[in-house]
Amino acid sequence: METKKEIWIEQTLSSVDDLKHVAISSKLSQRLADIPREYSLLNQRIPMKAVWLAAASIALLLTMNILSVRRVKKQSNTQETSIYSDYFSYTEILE
Amino acid sequence: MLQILNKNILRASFVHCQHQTNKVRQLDELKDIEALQNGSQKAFNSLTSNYSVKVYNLSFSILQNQEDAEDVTQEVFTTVFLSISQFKGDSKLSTWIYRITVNKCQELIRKRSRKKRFGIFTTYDKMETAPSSSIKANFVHPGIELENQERSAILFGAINCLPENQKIAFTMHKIEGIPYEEIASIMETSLSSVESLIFRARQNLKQALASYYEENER
Repeated sequence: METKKEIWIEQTLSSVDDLKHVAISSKLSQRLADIPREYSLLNQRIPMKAVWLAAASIALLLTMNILSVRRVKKQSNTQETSIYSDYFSYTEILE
Repeated sequence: MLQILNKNILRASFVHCQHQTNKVRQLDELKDIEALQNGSQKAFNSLTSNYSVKVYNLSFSILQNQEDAEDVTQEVFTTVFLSISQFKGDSKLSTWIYRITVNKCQELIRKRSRKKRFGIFTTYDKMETAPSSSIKANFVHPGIELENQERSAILFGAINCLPENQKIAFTMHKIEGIPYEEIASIMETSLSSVESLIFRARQNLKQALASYYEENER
């Protein structure tokens, strides 16, 4: 035989059996209806062409920077070696 | 003999009809998905009218807060709108939408529990173990009949104390009436683990309700 406590537990567990779905508020349905407009506006504001153009120009800028840094490094290296060779040839003359 | 034959014919025609309606439904869904992927506003509106109540009610039952449920519903449909192109049709559309809903709810629950832990210095372990006997019966679901409101508030309080996965599986099955198979694909787990999650949830709830009864109802 079920005790009073067990009956109460079973009744509590089945208290949600006849639960009815709650309707959404008009405010929320408006928020949902606005989603496509909001995001298509965002897409309209920044066209894909512009995004690709910006990406390409950034990539170009980066490669140009890397190339110029390399060139400057090479130049400074050759300058350094010429300074050293000048210095050593001068000391040789002195000796 | 004739009766049995008639019964069998009727059953076969019923199964055939069901099969046909399922096929029609699947075709309709495919058309809807294609329209959504092409950015059709009409398709999106029909999607929200078909699923918004389901998504809202599931998140409302899990989060037990109206504002949070509304925010999650909006986030879910925003995600659906932005990532419908990634939907490959491996699962049903409803399953995919429910999966997004559950993920969003989990994110919010974790955010909340992180805040709580910082606020009152409780450990993470404590929150993940079996439900405590301190049930807070303060959530009254508006979809419940007046005579059951007090008891359901206690039950919702007890559900809130369950570990996250048990809470979600139990809510989806018991409150939203989603079948085990669909819960398994929503939670990306096996059917047997869903069964065990719901069984353990029921056991934990019984324990928590028993201690609540001894403290308050006796």
